[in-house]
Amino acid sequence: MTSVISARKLSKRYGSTQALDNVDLEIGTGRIVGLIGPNGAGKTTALKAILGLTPFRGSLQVLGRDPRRERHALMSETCFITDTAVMPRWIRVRQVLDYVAGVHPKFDRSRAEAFLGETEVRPEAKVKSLSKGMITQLHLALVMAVDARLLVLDEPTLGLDIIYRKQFYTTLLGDYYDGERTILLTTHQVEEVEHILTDLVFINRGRVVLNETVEAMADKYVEVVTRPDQAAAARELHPVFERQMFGRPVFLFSGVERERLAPLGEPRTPSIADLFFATVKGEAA
Amino acid sequence: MTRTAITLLRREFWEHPALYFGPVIVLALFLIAALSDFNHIGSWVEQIGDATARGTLGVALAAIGMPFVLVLLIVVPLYLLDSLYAERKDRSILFWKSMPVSDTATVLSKLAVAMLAVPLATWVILLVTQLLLLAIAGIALAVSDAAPVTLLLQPLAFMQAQALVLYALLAVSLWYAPVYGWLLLVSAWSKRAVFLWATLTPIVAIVLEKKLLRSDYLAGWVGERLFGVFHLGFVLPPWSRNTYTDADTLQQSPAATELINASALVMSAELWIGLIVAAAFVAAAVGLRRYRDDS
Repeated sequence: MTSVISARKLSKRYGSTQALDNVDLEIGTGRIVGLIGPNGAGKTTALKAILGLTPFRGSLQVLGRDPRRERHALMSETCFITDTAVMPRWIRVRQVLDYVAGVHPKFDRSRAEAFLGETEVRPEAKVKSLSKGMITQLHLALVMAVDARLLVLDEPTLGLDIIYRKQFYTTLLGDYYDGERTILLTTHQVEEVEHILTDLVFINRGRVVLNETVEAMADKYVEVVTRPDQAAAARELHPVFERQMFGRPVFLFSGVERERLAPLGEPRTPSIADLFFATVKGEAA
Repeated sequence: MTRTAITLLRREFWEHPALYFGPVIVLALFLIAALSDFNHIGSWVEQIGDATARGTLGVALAAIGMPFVLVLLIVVPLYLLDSLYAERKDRSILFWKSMPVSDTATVLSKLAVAMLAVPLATWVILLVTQLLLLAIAGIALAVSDAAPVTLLLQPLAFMQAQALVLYALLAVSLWYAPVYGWLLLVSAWSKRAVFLWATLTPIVAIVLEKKLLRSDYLAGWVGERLFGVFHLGFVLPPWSRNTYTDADTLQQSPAATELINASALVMSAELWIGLIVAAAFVAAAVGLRRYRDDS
């Protein structure tokens, strides 16, 4: 497995806030990685460091380049959509395509036009006249038409209604992802991406608190909903986290065989949100 | 490479149509003035009389360029002040940075718009203006019979006028380069009120120098930079000193090219020092765009 992103002791301070605290991270080719964490955990800072948009300490290689010195070269093989990288309101759709076609060596204009042809986005429209969903479609049209090796998505579906959100991930997985490309994404709507991720990276207070493949996670973590009278028996098996759901105790186990848990209730794979909650709470305890 | 450069320049004109609307409006004003004064054109041109041997027509054609240069000196500074500020204000900077274009190329493209693209566009529009005015004057002469139409057919004078205009545009670009660089720097740096930062900073510095050091070197430098090119790079025609211009003084006019004083400009230390200062300002603006992280 070759590394697309390789970070060693990545650190970044904003004043008194430690946004990133000695982060080590390896992301291999063809992975779809979810960077999960609460607001202010350092997700966006990490992405900005990877994209060469902010200075940092430590070492970081993205597609074999140092993003601090080679952002523009890196951008010929990397695409990103973030909530903060808004398109200028004055520009026309046709001009966006003209611009990208003019500066991007790996942009296939006909692909972008074909994609936009399926939408309501008209070439002469100005960005300021487009809805948020249409702007995302325009972004997506660019992403689809660039032959990039790394795609970074920071809250790409923020503020979109459910139809656009669904469409976004369907297109991404159906037409974009080919097993060779790497996708790194953050989102608050974890449920929507859960089934497409191959890797999970949990980040909290600037530190990576969990880094697993989804497969390994499903093997390792098991959640069991028990009856209240079985709680003591469940605690014997050293759950890593315990919570209540509809008055019933729910236990999260790490590395305990499913057979041993079966008597306590139906073992199941925890959702990413629950696992995150457990990991962060467990860490704080 | 060339394709990227052309795209970067085009992008600036998409965002700032004032860069070409400005000179087009001047063109329109000239046409309106010429057409509304159509009946007097004959007698006016007649004043040139048989001064065909001298440069009167060429100087007159070049003089049409003065309001164009004036408009350029308004739209270009306003453009530069906006160029690195607007992308931060409307938060589109990260979109631009998602493209494989270096910060150096981006900032240089904006400087190239100010120093090359707008002057060239201005010249083309001026050329159109001159030709249209010549055509209108030709018709006026033909109609009024005040003077032979051939009076206007002076290819040499026309070429000399273009030489003077192009020299003037180049001289303005080179001379004002440090001002342009300063405006780019303020545009890359200021969080708000770019115009106030750009103008008040030197004014406050001048006042402080006066109060604290009781000297006014800075005021001298700034004044020289703002207006110096006109007496340094040009030979002013004799009639420019007269408040009243009669036919006689007009006919003494030198050829347009005789108003060029390129050697004085090129030999002046001020020009070269200015270019070095400009390079420093532009490099600082590039650094700011590259390392600043307030998005």
